[in-house]
Amino acid sequence: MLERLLVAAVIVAVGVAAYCAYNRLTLRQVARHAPRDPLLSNIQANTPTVIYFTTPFCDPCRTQQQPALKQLQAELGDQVQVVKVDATEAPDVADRWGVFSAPTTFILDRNGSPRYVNRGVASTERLKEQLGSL
Amino acid sequence: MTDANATRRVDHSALRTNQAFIIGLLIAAFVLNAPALVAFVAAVMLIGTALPSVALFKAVYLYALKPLNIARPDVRHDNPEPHLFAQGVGGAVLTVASLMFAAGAAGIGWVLAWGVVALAALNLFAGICVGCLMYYTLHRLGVLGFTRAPIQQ
Repeated sequence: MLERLLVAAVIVAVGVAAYCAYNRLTLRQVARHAPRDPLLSNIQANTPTVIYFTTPFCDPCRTQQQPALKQLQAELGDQVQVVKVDATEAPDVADRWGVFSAPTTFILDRNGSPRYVNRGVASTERLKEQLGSL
Repeated sequence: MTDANATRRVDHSALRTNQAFIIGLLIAAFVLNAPALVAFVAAVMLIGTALPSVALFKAVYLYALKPLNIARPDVRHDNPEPHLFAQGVGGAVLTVASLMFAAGAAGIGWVLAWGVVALAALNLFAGICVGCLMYYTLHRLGVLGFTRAPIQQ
């Protein structure tokens, strides 16, 4: 049984590691094209940015992610900017940013470099924590 | 949102409880080398899909976790059908896994069971419901029976 427990632990660890590695790879790829990405051409310089990918049919976006971002903006005001992208209207942008589900949020630092990616709903606390670590 | 949609609600805490039980029991089944537990989870999922009112893991949530304040209700405007479909797909995969165990192909059975664990974990931890995406894709393709469109604001 101990052997199977170890195998299960390894499978879970590999799964988690693969997920984290995929997210890191996404961030690295996005970082490569971010400086000349048209999506970021209008963002305010020296301000951390949240890039929020959504779709019109995404229930968690409407019920959880959108309110979390509204609260974030209410609390942080000008200290953060949020760029909303409808992935159905801009599928090329979603592909370029490695987005395969909604909601997906990217946290960009003051220099416009992507530092975090959240696949699925990211709470206000989580976003604040990520922004605070920049 | 239409009036009809306004009355459609799903308690996502119940869904998360369901996913947590599925993940926990399937990993326990692997550790204990108990294919019967996989068949049990398959049966619970398929019965819960066909008769949601007698869904076992949901009942644990409703009659134990919720009254004891271990899990708080998280009721949202949502369609229950895609979630039931996702559960049904998971139950079907676990049924195939059980048949594989019975046929002596335990390796394939465990791969299928771990696949269900992965998809349930993706839903529980990242909020990505692959079965729901399948349901809405089939709806957009006009497949018979997939009548519910995503609820919009």
